Formats: sequence, C-alpha cells, structure tokens
Amino acid sequence: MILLLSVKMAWRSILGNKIRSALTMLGVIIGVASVITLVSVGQGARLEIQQHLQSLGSNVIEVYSHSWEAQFTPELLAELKDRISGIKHIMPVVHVGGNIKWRNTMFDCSGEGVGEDFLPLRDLELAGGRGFTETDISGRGRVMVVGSIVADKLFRGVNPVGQEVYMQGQRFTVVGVLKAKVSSDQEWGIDRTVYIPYSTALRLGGNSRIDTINIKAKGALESSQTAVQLKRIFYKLYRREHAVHVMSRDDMIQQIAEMNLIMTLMLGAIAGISLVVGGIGIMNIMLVSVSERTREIGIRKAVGAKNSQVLGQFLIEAVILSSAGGIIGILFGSGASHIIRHFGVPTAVTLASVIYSFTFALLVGIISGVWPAAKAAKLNPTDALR
Amino acid sequence: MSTIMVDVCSVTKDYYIGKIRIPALRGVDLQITSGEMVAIMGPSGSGKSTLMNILGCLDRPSGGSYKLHGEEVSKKNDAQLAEIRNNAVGFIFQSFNLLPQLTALENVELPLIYRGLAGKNRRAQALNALVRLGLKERLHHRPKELSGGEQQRVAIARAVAAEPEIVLADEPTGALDSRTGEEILALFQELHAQGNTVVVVTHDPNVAYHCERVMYLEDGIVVANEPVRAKDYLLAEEVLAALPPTGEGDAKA
Ligand SMILES: Nc1ncnc2c1ncn2[C@@H]1O[C@H](COP(=O)(O)OP(=O)(O)OP(=O)(O)O)[C@@H](O)[C@H]1O
Ligand SMILES: [Mg+2]
Repeated sequence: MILLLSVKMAWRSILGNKIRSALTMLGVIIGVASVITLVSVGQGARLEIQQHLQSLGSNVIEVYSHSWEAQFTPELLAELKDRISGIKHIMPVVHVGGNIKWRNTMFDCSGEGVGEDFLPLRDLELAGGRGFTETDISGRGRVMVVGSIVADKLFRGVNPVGQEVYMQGQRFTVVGVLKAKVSSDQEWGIDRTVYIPYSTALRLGGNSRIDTINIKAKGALESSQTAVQLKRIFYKLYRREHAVHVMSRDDMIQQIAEMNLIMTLMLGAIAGISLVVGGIGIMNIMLVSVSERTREIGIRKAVGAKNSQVLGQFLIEAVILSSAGGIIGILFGSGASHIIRHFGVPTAVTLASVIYSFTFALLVGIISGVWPAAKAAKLNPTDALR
Repeated sequence: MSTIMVDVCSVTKDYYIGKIRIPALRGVDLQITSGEMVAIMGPSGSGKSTLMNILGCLDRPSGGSYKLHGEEVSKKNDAQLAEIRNNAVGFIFQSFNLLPQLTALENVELPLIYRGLAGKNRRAQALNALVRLGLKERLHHRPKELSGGEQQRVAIARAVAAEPEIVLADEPTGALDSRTGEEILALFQELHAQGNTVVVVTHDPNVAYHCERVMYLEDGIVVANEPVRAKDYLLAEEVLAALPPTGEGDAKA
C-alpha cells in the first residue's frame, strides 16, 4: 500500500517536472553510454589481437612487408627455406574479403589465401575432406577449406565437402572442413575463416601481392634463431631497417601482454572519468533541485506525510529515473559501438562494462536523489517551507 | 462538551540567526475550547505565524507546554506529529503552499492520500471540498494557472477536505476581494457551527468580528484576550446578503 502510493507519487513527480527528469536521466545516459562504448572499442581491439594470435600455430614467425619494394615471391620463399635450416614450413599469406555465398545465403567470415602447408603450419586439423595439393596451388584451383563455424552456421547439417560456394563472384568447391580450434562460439576468429590457395587469392580482386609470410620453425630454439636470420637476410635484401617486419610468436605474446596492460589502464581511466562526469551531472541536477524539493517536502510533511513516505517517494523516483536512464544508456552505448564497428573499428560490448556502469549510475542516481531528500525530510515542516 | 482543545502554557520560541537569538514568542498562554472560533491579531512581526505553526504542529516550541486535545505535543515523535497534522489539523498558509506540479484536485487529495484513503472515496471527498469553495471549473488547473484568490481557495479546500478537528488559517482572506473573503468566512462559520474549532490570524478587525473571541499578540506576548461584543459580531451570511451582487463571485454558483 505504502509502496504503491510512493510509486504513484514518484511517477506523478517525474511527469510533473519533465525537464528536471530528463536532465537527471541525461547524466545517467551519458555516463553509461560512454563507458559501454569506450570499453567496447578497447575490448574489440583486444579480441582481434587475441584471435590473430590464436590463428597462428606454435613456433610461428610472421613476416610482413611494410613497403612496396618489399615484395614476397614464391621464389624468395623457396630460397629462404633453402638458406635457413630451422624452417619447417613456409608459406605466403594473402588476405581476402571473406563473404561467401551458398545457395543464396550470404555469410560473413574472414578469408585467407594460403599455401600447401597451411594445415601443419597453423596446427589445424581436418574434420573431413582434404587440404590443398601442389596442383591446387600451381593450377590456381578454385578449392576451399572451411572453418568449423562456417560449416555449422552456413551449411547447417549439409556436408560442405563437394558443395559449391561463391566468393567475390568466383565459384569455389569446398574440399575440406576443419575441426574447431576454439571452444567458445566467437563471432570472429579462426573457426569462422575460409582458406583458398594463395595463388587463387592473388587473382581475386585488387589485392594482388603477397604481403605476409608465415613460417613454422622446427622447434622453440630454432624459432628465435630463424627470426634473427630472417632479419639479417631482409636487411641485406632491402638495405633498410623497417621494410620488413619479422615477428616471432614470443615477440607477439610479449607485445600483446604489454599492450593489454596499457589498454586496460587507459580504458579504466577513461571509463572512470566518464562515469564521474556522468555522476557529477546527475548530482548537479539533483542538488540544484534541492531547494525546490525541500519546499515540496515541507508541503508534503505539513499535510501529514511521514518521513518514510516522503523518502519512499524520492527513493522510487531516483530508482525509476536512474534505471530508465541506465537502460537507455546501455542501448545508446551498444548502438554507438555497433556504428563504430561499421566504420571498420572492431568493437565488442562486454557484459562487465554494462553491469558496472549501470550499477554505478544507479547508485549515484539513488544517493544523490535520496541524500538531499533525507536531509530535508529531517527538517521541521516550517524550516523546510522557508 | 466544552473540552479544552488547545492548551498553550508559557510557550516560547526562539529563532537563531547565527548566534543571535530572536525571541519570536516570549511566554504565550492561551486556551481554546473545542468548537470555538478565535481570531488572533497583532502587528506584523508579533509572532502570529510562529504561534500558528506551533499550534499546527509544524514546529516545536523552544519552551513551555502545548497540549492538543489534552496530549502534550512536545512528547510526540516525528511520525506521531505527522499523524496529528494529517488527521487533526487543517492548516491554511499565508502563502498557500500548493505543489506546483499537481492540479487543484490532486493538491486537495494530498492529505487524504497520506491518510491512506482509497482512490474513489478520496477523489469524491476532494471534489466535494473544491465544489464547496466554488472551484468546480478549476479542478484540473495547476496553481500557476489560477489567480491568487483561487489558489487560496484550493489551499482552504485542501485543509477542510480532510475534515480536521481544528482549522488554523493564517491570513486566509488577505489575498481575496471582499466578496470572496466573506464567502470564506461563511465557510469557516459553517465549520464552526458544525462543531469544528477555527483559529484565524488576521489584520482586519472586520474579519476578527466574525469570531467569538479575539487575542492580541504583541512582541511575542498575549496582550489582550477578549470576547467579541455582540454588537460587533458579524454573520458572514448576512454580510453577503447585504453586498451588492457582482460578477466576481459567480464561480460559486
Ligand atoms: N525563520 C526565522 N528566522 C529568524 N527569525 C524569524 C524566523 N521566522 C520568523 N522570525 C521572526 O520572528 C518574529 C515573528 O515572526 P512571525 O512570522 O511569527 O510574525 P507575524 O506576526 O506572522 O507577522 P506578519 O503579520 O507579517 O505575518 C519576527 O520578528 C520575525 O522576523
Ligand atoms: Mg505571519
């Protein structure tokens, strides 16, 4: 009964002062939305790096070209393999836009043009079908090996092997299906990738150069030796320090760990600041309306409201406004992170950021709504009415 | 049935501005019998509003004793005082004190809500009071959309809708024209006739003449306390009948 009454009073009061209510909500909305958006950008970057790391096998060295003069050719790759004894597998990698179409269904995935050795190099295993043969590579075969998520989500029960799919307008035949590599069902990542011969990939679309080499060393020790040797060879070849970037998996893990730390700190700081800014916004509005609300409390008490009834109303009012603002903030934040993703920046909304920002905004909203009311409610009606 | 309704015994009230003590009441003694209609007069700043606030349990005295209906008010806690304000007292403020975001009807309903009255009864009771004060056409107006006199009448409706035992009115007719003022006084006399206790603060001797007794306050002390002489006594109904009919009070019809 008292609760229902307080809810009604609170509702009346919210509607009775729409501008004040909107401004209060705005503070919550800004705080929550900005935290969710910012954290989603950081998380997106982090996930992308993580997935890249996962997609590489163990003892892998990645080499990418940083300039146009550094062109990798199959001949160069063969030469490297001859000269460096630690190399077990070496292959060129060509990145391709991955959207594929099967029986009129479009499917979003990443695509890579790879060499014959890609299965052992990347530590991938076949669930069915076959990998690429020498003839596939040399003959620019229109063949494709698909990741487990592609197999599950696109082909849904139909055995992909033997199916025909279209990629960038070209027809491919699926020859192999991979086993799942990551247990969690991520939206992006290695299990959502399709592979075609690199030679075929070079013919597709505009990206007609090999800008990445993947190398698998024979062991951990050989891996670091190989990295050193590669750097030396490329330096001689191009007479420049940064024409080519050689990165072993160890380098990468270390770098990523450092980056993760920096990113976590930075995002934490930004998120904290935007929450505080939002919080100050909320408090500001709440405190500005204190004198007005003090009078209201005086009137309510003068006609016989008990402190508990007054506080109940203010508490519920603050809860309604803050949680409504929080929900709108979550929607806005998720929407913003979606839009950012459309512009090519990877984002991922995290549950933690949603929960933390919502809880914080709710708390600030409730405290700054109820605290002044609690102070005013303690006054005599005459003092509150002055 | 002449029980003592209000029993005020050497009540003091001090205000403080910083450390400076401002004695607003300096030992007021006063008794009001149940069902009486009393006027309180006195110059501005003499402590009339201060006294009314104490009588209405809106404020606590600094010293002395105040018994309402035989019960010592200073011994009550906040919740009990709220109940007294809600059930026993109808307070009409010098400055209306309506909630700006609520309509006239909702304002009048407010004390009934806190009393826990269910929706239909509550609405009917509030409506009744507003109609009685000639505000049938103004039910859904906000205070801002009402004239000063209309706001005053909403405030009065709010006080009387709750059917209190004692009505305390601080300058209830100050903002009204003579006809509307007289109509308010008629209402008070009607409440009085029904057995309610009515206390009216006023500067206007003509208003005081509508009461049975007048108390004079000066500098926080009661300086005179005397019954209204029969020859001075005014019945609002008669005064109204004698007034020339104008368009002003038509809302009442
Ligand atoms: N909150 C307050 N703080 C300090 N002094 C106050 C306060 N309220 C009233 N006073 C002082 O107490 C005295 C009595 O004030 P009160 O309002 O009771 O007078 P009043 O008789 O109602 O006057 P009026 O006819 O103008 O309404 C005045 O001197 C006033 O200045
Ligand atoms: Mg006064």
